[in-house]
Amino acid sequence: MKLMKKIGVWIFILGFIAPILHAAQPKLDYQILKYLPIQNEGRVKPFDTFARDSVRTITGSEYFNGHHPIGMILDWIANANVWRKRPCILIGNLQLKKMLGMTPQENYATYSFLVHRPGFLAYARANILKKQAMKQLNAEQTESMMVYGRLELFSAIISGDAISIIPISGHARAKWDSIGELQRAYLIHPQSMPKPAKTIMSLFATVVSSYFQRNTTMFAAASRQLCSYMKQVGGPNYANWSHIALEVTYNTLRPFRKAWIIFLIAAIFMALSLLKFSKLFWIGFAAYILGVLISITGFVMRCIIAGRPPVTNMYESIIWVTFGCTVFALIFFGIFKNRLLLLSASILGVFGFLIADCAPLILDPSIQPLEPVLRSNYWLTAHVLTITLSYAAFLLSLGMGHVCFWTMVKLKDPQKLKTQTQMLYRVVQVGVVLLAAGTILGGIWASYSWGKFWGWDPKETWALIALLGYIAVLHGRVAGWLKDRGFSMAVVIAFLGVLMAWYGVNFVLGVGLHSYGFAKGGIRYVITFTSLDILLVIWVGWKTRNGAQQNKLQNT
Amino acid sequence: MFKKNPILKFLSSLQLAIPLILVLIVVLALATFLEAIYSTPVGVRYVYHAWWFKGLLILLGVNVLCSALSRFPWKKYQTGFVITHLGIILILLGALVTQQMGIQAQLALKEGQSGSIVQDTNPDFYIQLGNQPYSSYSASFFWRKPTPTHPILFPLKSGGEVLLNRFYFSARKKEIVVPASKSQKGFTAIHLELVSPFVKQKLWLFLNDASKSSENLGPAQVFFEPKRVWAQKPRSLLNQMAGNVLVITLGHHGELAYQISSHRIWGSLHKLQINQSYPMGWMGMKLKILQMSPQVVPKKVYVKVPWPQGRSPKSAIHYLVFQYPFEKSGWLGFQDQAILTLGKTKLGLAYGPAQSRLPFLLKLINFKVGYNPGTHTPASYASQVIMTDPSRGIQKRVKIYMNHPLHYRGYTVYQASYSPNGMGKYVSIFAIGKDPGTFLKYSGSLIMISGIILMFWFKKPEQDQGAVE
Repeated sequence: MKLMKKIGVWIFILGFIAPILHAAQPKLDYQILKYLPIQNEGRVKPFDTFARDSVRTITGSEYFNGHHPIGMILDWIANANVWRKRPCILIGNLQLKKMLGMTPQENYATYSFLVHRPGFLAYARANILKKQAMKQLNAEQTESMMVYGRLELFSAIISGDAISIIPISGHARAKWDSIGELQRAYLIHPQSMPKPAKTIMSLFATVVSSYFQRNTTMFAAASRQLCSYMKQVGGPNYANWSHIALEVTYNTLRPFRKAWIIFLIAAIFMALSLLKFSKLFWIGFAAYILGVLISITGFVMRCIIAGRPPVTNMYESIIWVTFGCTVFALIFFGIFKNRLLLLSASILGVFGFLIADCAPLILDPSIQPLEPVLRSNYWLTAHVLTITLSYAAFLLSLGMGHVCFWTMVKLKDPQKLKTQTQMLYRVVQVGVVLLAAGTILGGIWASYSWGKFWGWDPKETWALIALLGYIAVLHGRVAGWLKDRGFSMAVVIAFLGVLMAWYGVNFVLGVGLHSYGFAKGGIRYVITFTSLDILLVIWVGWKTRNGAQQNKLQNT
Repeated sequence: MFKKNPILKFLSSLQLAIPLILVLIVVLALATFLEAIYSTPVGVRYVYHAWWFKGLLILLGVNVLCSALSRFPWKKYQTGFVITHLGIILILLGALVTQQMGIQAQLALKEGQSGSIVQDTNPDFYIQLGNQPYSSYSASFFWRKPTPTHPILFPLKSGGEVLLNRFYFSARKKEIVVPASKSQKGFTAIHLELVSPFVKQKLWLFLNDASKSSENLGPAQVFFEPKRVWAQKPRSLLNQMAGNVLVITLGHHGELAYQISSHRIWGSLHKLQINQSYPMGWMGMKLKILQMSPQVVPKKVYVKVPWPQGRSPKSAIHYLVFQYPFEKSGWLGFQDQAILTLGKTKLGLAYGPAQSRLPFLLKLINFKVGYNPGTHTPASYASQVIMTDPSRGIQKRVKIYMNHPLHYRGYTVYQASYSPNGMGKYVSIFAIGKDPGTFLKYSGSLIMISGIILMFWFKKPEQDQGAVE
């Protein structure tokens, strides 16, 4: 009741405030400026992406205080003096906040506070050097590095140094000029500035000032003029326009956000169909297909934009594995015609895509160019794709394992359990083949690039551990130690190995356990989930202990 | 045979296989945590290369082999099973061959430089007497470690001997002070500590010692001077000291004082008490003198770090040299060397990476780095190299870069990394490997994977229970 009241009050307040805010800030149209190419972090991208990535890096969210990302960038430039003293730089670590003399409730620091904090810059730089020397950093040291990066990016934006929008014609890989560099180059002799430079400066200044005045018509005109003049400077094909357009569409479409919403709808309809209305399943099925299609669209778009398969960071691997899981479920549904496969996969789809969508600070959704060691190597692509596909199969087996639990505890139907464990067995087999092949492909890749087939690197060791885990389970089944009940429980437990190989190596071992990095990388949630799942397995085991005894009796 | 002999029966059984796999899982998992908490070399030394771990792997190999043999003559449905287990055995054999006969080494070349002597990752101990050629001894100490009660002895041709009586797998260099002996010149030394919320540093400074009376700490320069000398320093010299400067002075009656400057603006001289904190004014730093000792000399020792952190813990050995009437001792950290004077002869001792010679010569012509457009993150790097094989009269020019190594006479030369060498020049670092186990491992992998697929494809899930019985 109390909660309802609270919500009611908020709706009431918002109903009043929203129109006022709306009226106070005439809506500026960023449609044109979005498409302006800018060179940033090693590639040419639309201004839209630059703004989203930068604002997210600095403040932790794309829409800081409700500003549109492009608006935020322009506001920082137009009101630089105000923003230097306004808290907007994210500080994520409690210990670092304490060292800086901030209260735990303060999440943002101001630019001038950080720059003038005695010793902070030296401390952060020392940590950057330590990191370069391959030394391990603890959580607050890592965060100080991140804060330093945010500080640098913020200062590069307000000075115009990050606004590298001026192409150098003739060189595909040359560094573009930025507004800030242009300004500084002619600081002493502004009259000697060549005409194109002058025009660019004045056009950009008009964009900023019309933003400042909230003059919608002037802003639109100035944006259009700036974009078309840049085309004149760089030649009509100074950027890959179809890629730019595609990337802006990708940013607005947010295919992976849509995906979890659609899978949620699919899951709801499929669950309802189980309860009573069997026909509803096909609505859920349609939604499921739509979800798979929209994630394929998202992947194709991301591949074209990045020019490589999208499996190089945790964000990409989570969406890829989730997607793979939903596709595997579809294939197995084609074979076994079991609706529970699709229901469990759509629930996993909701979780996977939701996690990727909700934690941009941990799972960086920005599209980055590839590191040299990962470049132009199809062994690597084959290795990563195979291994992540095996994770997808094991993820599905996790879902199916829980379906088996349901059958054991609620339905108590040994015949159903038998068919379900047979499906489960097949899913695990696919996963084992893929994981074994993927691990070996990793060895071949390492041997090819580094001359070492196996180096006991934690990532490969954990892939091996995960594989050994499932192999133990399969052998346990062959030995007759694991019947249907034990097998489904063991499969769920074996997923812990995958979780560790996939997530844990990067976020648990990577940070180093000594670093109190437990707030980082969402590890708290993962540990909570894992412990709950283990408790569930124990509970299921206890609940169905009679089944086990009966099995024994039958055997003897 | 396998059915009658209980030992063979056990070695081929699932009763051994499953616990063995579970033990491996636990051991490997713990090892990765060991690596994460401490360092990769710790994991390698204490687990992956430890004798008991090799034993576990051999037991696994025996188990796999016996389980495959015990089911002979094989039935048709067992094809996948047999092939898979054969693949695993080949992979394990390949690993064994690699470990026994493989080479993993490094070669760093400056542009224009050529070389064929590569450095191994395992350390060696080198002894050179006078002008004679040096002799080298393996110093990994995987099986037996030198201790004060059981030292390792190396006789010298001159009749004397060198003993190694301590080995720390991981050690930290520490500067301590010891009272000066009669033949040595002692100094007055202070032990000071500079603390801010962000850094903490401790160091020793020695009065009137040319090299150890001052130290550049990065955020500040620190000097320790006699009061009289400091008072007579010309003004112009003081004004040359930019940045943050801290000067500690010692008066005639042992009284300490300090003076600080920040960007050429000097404060006045303040009195200084031992074990009290004084604010420095810059970076929130505080100064504390921990200790003052007269008539001491600095000494470098290594202290053991039982659980080292960081990628490359530094190992150290302690040596004793007896050559009548001389007796010397000291520490050598990894990549340290010492030259001892024993009367008229000189004895050189060194502790560093083992070296071996390639059957060919590499010359680095140039090295190029390409960057991601508009950033300082390298996108690619490549070395132009001339490879000469004098014994076969072959010379060729090759480009070695990421994913494109040079293969020659069983060796593979990879572009590993690089470091800048000033003036836009680079040192290119190559990894050199020779792995005779590769063929076994690759064919084993292929066989194993096809075996797994066969096994899963042809065996119906209903069949799986008790199919092997």
